[in-house]
Formats: sequence, C-alpha cells, structure tokens
Amino acid sequence: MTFALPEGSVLGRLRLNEVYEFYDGPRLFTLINEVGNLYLALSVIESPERDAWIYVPISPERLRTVEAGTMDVRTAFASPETERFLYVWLDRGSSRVNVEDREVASIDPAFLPDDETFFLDPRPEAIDALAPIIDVAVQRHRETLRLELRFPGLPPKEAPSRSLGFVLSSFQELTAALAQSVRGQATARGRIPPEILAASEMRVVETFAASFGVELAAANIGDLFGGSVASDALDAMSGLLQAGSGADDLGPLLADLKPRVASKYRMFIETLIESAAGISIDWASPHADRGASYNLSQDALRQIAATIAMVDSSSTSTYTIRGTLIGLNARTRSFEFEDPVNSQRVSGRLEQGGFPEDQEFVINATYSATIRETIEVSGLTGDESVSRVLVSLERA
Amino acid sequence: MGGSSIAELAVRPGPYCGRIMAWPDHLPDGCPPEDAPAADGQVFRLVGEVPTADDFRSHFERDPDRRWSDLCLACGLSVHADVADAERTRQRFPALRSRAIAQGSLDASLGVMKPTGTRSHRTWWVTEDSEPWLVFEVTA
Repeated sequence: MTFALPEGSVLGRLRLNEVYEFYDGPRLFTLINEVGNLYLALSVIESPERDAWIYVPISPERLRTVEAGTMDVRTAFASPETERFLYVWLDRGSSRVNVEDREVASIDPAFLPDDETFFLDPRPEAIDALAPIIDVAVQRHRETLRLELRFPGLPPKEAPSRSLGFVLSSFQELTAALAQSVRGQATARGRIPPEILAASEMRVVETFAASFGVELAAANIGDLFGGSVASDALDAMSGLLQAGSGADDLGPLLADLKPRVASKYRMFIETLIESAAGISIDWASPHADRGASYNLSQDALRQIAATIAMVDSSSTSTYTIRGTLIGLNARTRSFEFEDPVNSQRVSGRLEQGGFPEDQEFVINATYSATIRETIEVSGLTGDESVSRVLVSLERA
Repeated sequence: MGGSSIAELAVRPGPYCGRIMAWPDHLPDGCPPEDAPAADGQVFRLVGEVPTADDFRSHFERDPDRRWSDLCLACGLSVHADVADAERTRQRFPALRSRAIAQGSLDASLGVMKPTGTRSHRTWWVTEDSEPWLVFEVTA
C-alpha cells in the first residue's frame, strides 16, 4: 500500500490525526483539516493499479463513542452522520490522488469490515479515569461501591437496562434488609421502617466502562468515625460474600441475619444468574477497618444459589392450630380455617396428594390443622406475601 | 541519514550489541530502535498467494519519494505474533481481504522486531541481503 492524502481538494489541508490500526501503513485512522473537520478513514483497496480509502465525516462526539469502544467500526462507516462519504483513490500510474463524493446508500458492502464485532480497544483517554476507590470514599465520607458487571457479548459501557435495573434494585433491597437486621430490627414480614430504608439508601453516582461499571455511594455520610447504618449493612454483606458457597459458613450467617436477608440475598444472586452477568464488587468505606473486593463468576454465583437453596429453610415454618373449618374444596384444592385464638382466618392450598377427593370434612366443625407457612419476600419496600399449605386435618 | 555501518553496530548498546547486523542503507539514523530485540520465533504475515520478495518490501521501498512522518516505521514490515490477530486484520480491512496468511520462523539473522500498534502486532526490520520470503509458508 502507498499511503497518500488528497491535496488541493475541497477537503482542505488534511493531516493524519490518529492511527488506530496499522498494518504496513495506516489502515484505520482519522484525518483533520485546517478548520478542524474530522474524517474517519478506512483502507479499502490495495492493488497494483490503485490504493483506495473511504472517508466519512465524523463529529468529535461520535468519534469518542468509537474510541471508547461503544460503537463498532463497521457501523461508523455503514451509518455515518452525513448522507455522503468520500471515496479517495490513488492512481499508481499517475500518482494522482482522486476524491469522489458519493451517497452513503451506494456504499459497497465490500468496503466495510466483515467483522461486526470490530470495536476499538478502549483507550485510556476515551474513558474517564477512575480515582482509587478508597480515596473517593474518604473524600466523600460515604460508603462507596464499584460494581463491575460483565454482560456477555456487549461492548464496553453498555448494559441491558432491564437486567441492570433488576441487579441494582435487588442490591438495594439486600442492603436495606441487612440494615434492618444489623440494627436488631429484623422482621420476617411487613414493611421495612422508613428510617432504615433512608439510612441504607445507595445512589448511583457514576458509570464507567468495565464492561459496565456502576459506582454507588451511600446517600448519607458517615459519623465521626466513618460509621453508618449503610456501613454496617455493607459490612454484613461483605460477610455473606466472604462466606462464598460454603454451607458451614453461609448457613449460620443467614440464620443470624434472619429470613428476609436470606430471601433478598437469594434474589440478588438469582438476578445476576438470570442476567448471565459475572460481577466484581469493590467496596471502600470511610470507616478505617472496612472495605473489601469480591469477584463472582457465573459458576460461583450458581454455587452460592445452590447453597442458599439448601440452607434457606428458615422462611418456611409448620405449625398446628385448633379452630373451625370454614371451607374446603378438594377439587380446587383450597381451604379456609378460622383461628379462634387470634380471631383470624387463614386460607391456602391443600397439600398435593394429601387429601383424596372422596375424603369427607364437616364445615364449621372444630379441627386440628397442621399448616406449612412460607414467607415470600419481594418488592422494593420489603413487603412479603405468605403462602400456606394445609398438610393435615384431624377432627378435634 | 543512511544505514549504520557494521563497525558502529558492533559497539552499539542494546539487545543486539555484539552481533553484527547490516541494515539497508535507506534506514535512518537510530533505526531500528535500539530497544528492538533480535527477531525470534513464529510470526504471521499477510502475503499474496505464495510469499515473494514483493510481499516483503517495506512502505519506504514501495514509495521512496514520499515524506514519511515516521520514516523508521515505514522501513519496517508488519507481522503478528498471534495468528488470530493476523486473521482479524485480514477480516477487518477490505484492502487486505484477499491476502493469505503466511507463517514464518524468524531468528536473529533476519533482523530485529518490536511490538508496535495493537495486540500482537510487531514491526520487523529486516537485515540487508536477507531473503525473508524463503522462511514463510502460506497456512491460511
């Protein structure tokens, strides 16, 4: 290839601005003229007769997205910002460089990179440099986390909004549940008190390429020693992550932290699994003794989920009450029972296989009912739903 | 400008100090860079159907009248240490799409080589009077 730039054309005095790919000469590069117009250029023909390039005008903003590895190179040429591109060719016979103005619609697909995953390697200057997280946390005097999510098949700085939303939401719910637990106010059901929700609130303060990085900071600053509700919650979360998938460590921890935490931790881990994302968590605290880093691959997440499923039985309880049978339908497999002690009616489903359709029951009679109750915790506010299964029913 | 003499090279500091390497006269002073180690190992280069002398002509040799912003780089040849990078380059740049990938095993007699550009790209400065196309064979 002979590298040459057009001279005396409408493009002005062009000079090489940046070379991104080099192979026996510049193959992908930008040019700039005397008034600052930028062109992204690609080497498209190399033959004994001619060398040719295509130039597309490009704005600094779009160039940054290409340089940051957010937009692929093929797209930058196939869908430029203008309707026209320039076909520049060097006639080796005359050594003359020719410029032709062409419509983008007429661009020859053979002139485009075959590789649709042709992203430039993100360059340091195209990405905001991140200060050390500990410095940031101390300067802010707030708990600070960097979550690096690795969504497969996506360019840097891009993440599926749905998956990202679920991950952040489940992370916040876990933080709130931990805050409630470490403050000794754990409840298995009902709303988390507003003051705990406020004290454990995390905010997105920055995103970065990594492949998708989110920096979170506690909404509230720490006390004189850097302590805070959020700090305590994150410390407890660090304990969970440290326990990994070892049932001997994770089981007692989840039991100590109460069922809501177990449920929220499971939800967080399962959300990551569903997103197919690996995650790195880098936590720094203004509290001198706190902070940690964890890296969880999909395999590691699955192992944790399996362990939680194994140890997380504390949200299910079985009890027997004596009361009045209000209703029972063996066909629809539902029941309603009145607990005279609490003056409450409980309802639910019949145990699968536990009640033959021809079994007879007397409505309004007194029975001893054995009920298995499962608390499902869900929703951003910590609301629970309770499901009950009638395991057995004996006439009292 | 002009190539370093054999006497100069013999006392020149750097990785190839002590070895006698003769360079083409058109290489500028200070070229190849002193920190470029002796060529060594397998590399991959895009060539025509079969490797020929023409496939191993540098930029400068192809267009000696041109003013090069980096003359030393223009006097070198592009190779990749990783065949996947050679394949990727061929795929990404339409001008190189018809090229074949040739594999060659280099040693110090063939020059010096230094990482430049992205990934496993190397610039290889070939010694005077060597015939590098003879050590290359098309693999893909």
